[in-house]
Amino acid sequence: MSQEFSFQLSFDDFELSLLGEPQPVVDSEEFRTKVSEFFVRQFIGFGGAARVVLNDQKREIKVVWTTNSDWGTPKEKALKLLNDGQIENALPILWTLFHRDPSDAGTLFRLGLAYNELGQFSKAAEILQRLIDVEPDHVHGLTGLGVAELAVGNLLIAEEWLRKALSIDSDDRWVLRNLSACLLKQNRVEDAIPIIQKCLTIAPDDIAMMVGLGEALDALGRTTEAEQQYRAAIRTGGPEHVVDVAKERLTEKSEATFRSGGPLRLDAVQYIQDALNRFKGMTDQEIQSLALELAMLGNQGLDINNSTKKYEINSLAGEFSGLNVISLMYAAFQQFAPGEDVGIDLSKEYEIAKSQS
Amino acid sequence: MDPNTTKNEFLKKVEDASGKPVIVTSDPNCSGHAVIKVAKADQPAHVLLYKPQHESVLPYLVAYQCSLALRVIQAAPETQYDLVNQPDMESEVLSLMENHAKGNSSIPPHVVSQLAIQFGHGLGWQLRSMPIAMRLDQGIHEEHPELREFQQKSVESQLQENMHALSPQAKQIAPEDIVRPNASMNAAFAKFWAEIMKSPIVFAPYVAAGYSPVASELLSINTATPESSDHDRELVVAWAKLLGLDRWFKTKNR
Repeated sequence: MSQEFSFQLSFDDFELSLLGEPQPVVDSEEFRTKVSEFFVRQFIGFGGAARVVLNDQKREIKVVWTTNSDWGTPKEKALKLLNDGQIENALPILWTLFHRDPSDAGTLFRLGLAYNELGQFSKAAEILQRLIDVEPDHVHGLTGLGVAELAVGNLLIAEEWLRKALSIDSDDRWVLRNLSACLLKQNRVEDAIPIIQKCLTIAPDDIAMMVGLGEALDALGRTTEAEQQYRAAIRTGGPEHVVDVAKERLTEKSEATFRSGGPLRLDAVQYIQDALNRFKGMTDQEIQSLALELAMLGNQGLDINNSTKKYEINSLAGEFSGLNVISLMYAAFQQFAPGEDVGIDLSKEYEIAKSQS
Repeated sequence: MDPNTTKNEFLKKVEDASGKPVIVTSDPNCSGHAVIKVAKADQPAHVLLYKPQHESVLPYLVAYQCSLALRVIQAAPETQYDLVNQPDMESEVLSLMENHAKGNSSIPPHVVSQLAIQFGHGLGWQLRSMPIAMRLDQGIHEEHPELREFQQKSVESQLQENMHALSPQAKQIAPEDIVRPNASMNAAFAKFWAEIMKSPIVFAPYVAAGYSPVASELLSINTATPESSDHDRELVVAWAKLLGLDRWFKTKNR
């Protein structure tokens, strides 16, 4: 036999008399467990591989089997689905495996994690608690339990699980990451900082932690150190959304410093006026090309509060301060994409410059 | 013996027994994996049609269809019969389908009558062929080991197709009175092959769905009925009675 076979059966169509006395109620946990056991018995001595999947949502039993030796086991299949991000497809397989062996630590862990991923935190906590009953020192199980409790706002319970995980493995970056998040949620910034710093010694390229540390330092008024963390995150690179947060924080800080000089910056008005005069001799396409070049330059980070630092622009002769570059960029974008966020609001300066040019 | 040689021998047996050639041709629209249309007195040749996707098991399909044709051609005239519909079969099946389709989003109203015809005729075809099929298959399995690989591949594919009838989706489309006799016959077929292939697992779906007792009863009818084609009619009538299909089908002399 080499073909893959499969069949599906509604829970209602399963012959209850096969499950022994007393017959379980359809849909009950006992029903699922006994159905699973029934098929396990059917496949005892069978040379191939089989998967029995109970889908609670559809109330269906799906059985697939083959003699093909390189076909994965249900565990392997579930793992592959989880790795592929197909959590909802993995769930019925994991649930079936759980019913087959409710004390299998691997299944309990994956099932708990799957529920966490799906945002079903109370189910995740229930399953992961079972895992800890079976294997009290399961670091990632304890972490998952902490994450589930953290998600529903049980911050002290979450901290307890995460600290227990940390006592078993003090170098686990995921424990450190989640513990720091838990402490930050409790506004215990000073407690969180050494945890984040330790995480960064273990995973020096974890830019989410760099940003987290920056924010924690900011909260304590240690702005220069915070800025260093944001810059380090941008320099290191990584997930775009995290890099964007780092840039956003830097921009906020620059803008705050920039605006501390007064509500209206006349130097910026002047730069924009110069830009608008420059644009009169340029085509629309040339302005767009310039804007693009300036945006790329800005992407690397511009210091708008230090007039001694100069930047070069390929399409324009000379050297420009950070504020000049950003003013030029703002004015350029206003010509063809006025809604575009260039990272700083120079609308007041632009309106004045425009009325005077 | 080489499978192709066996295949040609089966074709020759039919040609020798009937005095007419067998034309073998692929047809994507033929019913089942293959079908043989035995020539009537005024027709010059028998026609064996097979689905192109089953070409890889053609030696077995030809052996099976030729065995079926020989059973018809060589039967004594007084034992030859046809399975026909009872007068109310079509209207009853249509009524069942109409009731089943009420409020059922899986069945668009315009396909109800078409499905009723398809299901009614399908059950008749299955009743006429399945009890006999097992006998023919057993003969091929025992006498032609060179065809076993083809036979097994073909049967496995059929077993898988049959398993779909147990699914909740099938039950959404067909009423219980259609599903039950169909699945019962499929269960007998699976139990029969589970024993021959020494693979009880192919019968497991039917055990789980509660079809084990009826499958055993159907197979016991086969065991109790003599092998000769002279008893085919008796076999089909007994299956029809057990399945409650005698209200829709009857046999008549050809």
